[in-house]
This record gives sequence, structure tokens and C-alpha cells, in this order.
Amino acid sequence: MTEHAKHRLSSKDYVMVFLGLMVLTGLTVALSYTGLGEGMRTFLAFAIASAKALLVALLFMHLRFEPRPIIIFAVTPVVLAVLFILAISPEVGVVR
Amino acid sequence: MSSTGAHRLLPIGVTGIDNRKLGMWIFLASEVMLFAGLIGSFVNLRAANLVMMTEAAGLLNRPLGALNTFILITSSLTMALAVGAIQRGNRERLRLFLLLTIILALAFMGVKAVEYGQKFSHHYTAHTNLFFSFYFIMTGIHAFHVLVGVIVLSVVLAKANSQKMDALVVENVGLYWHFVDVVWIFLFPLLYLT
Repeated sequence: MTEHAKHRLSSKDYVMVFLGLMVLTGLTVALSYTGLGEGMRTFLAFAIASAKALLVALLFMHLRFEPRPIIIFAVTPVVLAVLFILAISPEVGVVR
Repeated sequence: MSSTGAHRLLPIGVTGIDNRKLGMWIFLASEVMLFAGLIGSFVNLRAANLVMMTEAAGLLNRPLGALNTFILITSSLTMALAVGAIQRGNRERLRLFLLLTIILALAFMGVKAVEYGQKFSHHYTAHTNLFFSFYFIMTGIHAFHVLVGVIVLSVVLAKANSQKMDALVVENVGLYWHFVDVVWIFLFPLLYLT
């Protein structure tokens, strides 16, 4: 049931998540102004975006507290999406 | 599934999860694949046409893109607080945070409109080149999701005092809204920053 998921996070917790997302956004903007190579920048952009998405999914969307069927519904499309993107990249890899 | 025998037939809702919530997650799963198609194609076509794509990306307004990222993440916070409010039975607070979320969503669309206006005034449209095709299609589909979010959030706000509006409805709208935020979290660095 969802009952036990209630009241797990306080408003303060949500504000902490928000601040974490802000820091990561600042980081990704700052990185784009560095002289890093194109491949590395794209890789880092994806890595930071994934970290932010994970924060949102686990805490804002309460995935951390959800029962297994919901975890499966949430994780499966992400795995398929990553496989799909890799599968259509036979020559032009994202990171070179 | 259980080994205790046929006399213990499981009820239809075997997952113990409200069907509305399960339905929302299945819908979001299909949404993930929609955006995966767009993002996957963009990443590959970009890698294959790197010079043209990065030059075109440099024409985007980075500060406005960053501002919109800030706005949307803040709206995710207010949405999470709205869900927290109704879970604690505080409908006053629910209405406040729903209203803030709607205002932020409208602000996002306003900034997006300004950006589109700037691009159109310089004659950059979806027909300009591959980059702008992807830019307008991806941000357009995303903005459409924001618009749908505004409508749904407004309906929830209007019915916030009704007993039919239970925590699960708000939670579901929240799931959708956070997903729209996650999509932008990927679109922003992809389009504006690389």
C-alpha cells in the first residue's frame, strides 16, 4: 500500500533535494564553459542529468519508498531507452 | 503465485497498489520511450553533424534556458510540497503550493515564448536546419506537456476542497509533473550546453 510511503519526507527534505538539484544545475552550466573536449562534455552532461533525474525520481516521486511492481515499471523503460540509444549508435558513439 | 493451493485465489488487485497510480507509471513508461526516440536520434545525428549542430546550438539563449531550468526545478519543489500538504490533510497549504506550481509553469511557458519569439525574429524555424528541427520538436512537445500540466493542475486546484480529491490524485499529478521536469533536465544540457 502507499500508506507507509506517506510522511516519509518532510518539507525540509524536499528543500534539500531542491538545493542539490540547483547545485548540479550550476555544475552542468559551469562545465559547458570549460575547455573540455566535446565527447567529455556530452558524457558529463548526461551523467549530471542522470544524477538529477535520479534525485527527482527517488525522492520527489517517492520511488525510494514504492513497492516492487512500481520500481519495475519505472526501471524497465529506462533500461530499454538506454539500450535503444546505444543500439542506434553503431558508429557514432556518444563518447569518442 | 502462492504455493498454498487453489483455494487461496488472489484478488484482482494483487499488487496492492492503487490502479490509478499503477496506470500513471505505465503511462510514464510510454512517455520515456517517446522522449528516448527523440533524444537518441538527436544525439546520434548531432554526433554525425557535429560542427553544424554545435554552431546552431550556440545560437540558443543560454541564460534564458538556465532560467527556465531554475523555474521548472522550483516548480517540482512546490509540487512535492503540495503532495506533502494533502498527505497531511492540509488543504490550505495544498492550494497554496498548487497555485505556486501553476504560476511557475506559466512562467516557464512565458520564457519559452520569448525564446521562440527571438528565434522566429531571426528567421530560425523548424525548417532552418537539423538542429532547429530537433530544437523546436523536442522543446515543443515538452512545452505541450507543460501546458497539459497547467490544465490538470488548475482542475486539481479548482477541486482542492472536494473530498473526491484524495491524496492519490494529487500524487499522480505530481508524478506527471516531476516527469516533465526530468525531461527538461535532459533537454537543457543536450540542446543548450553541449
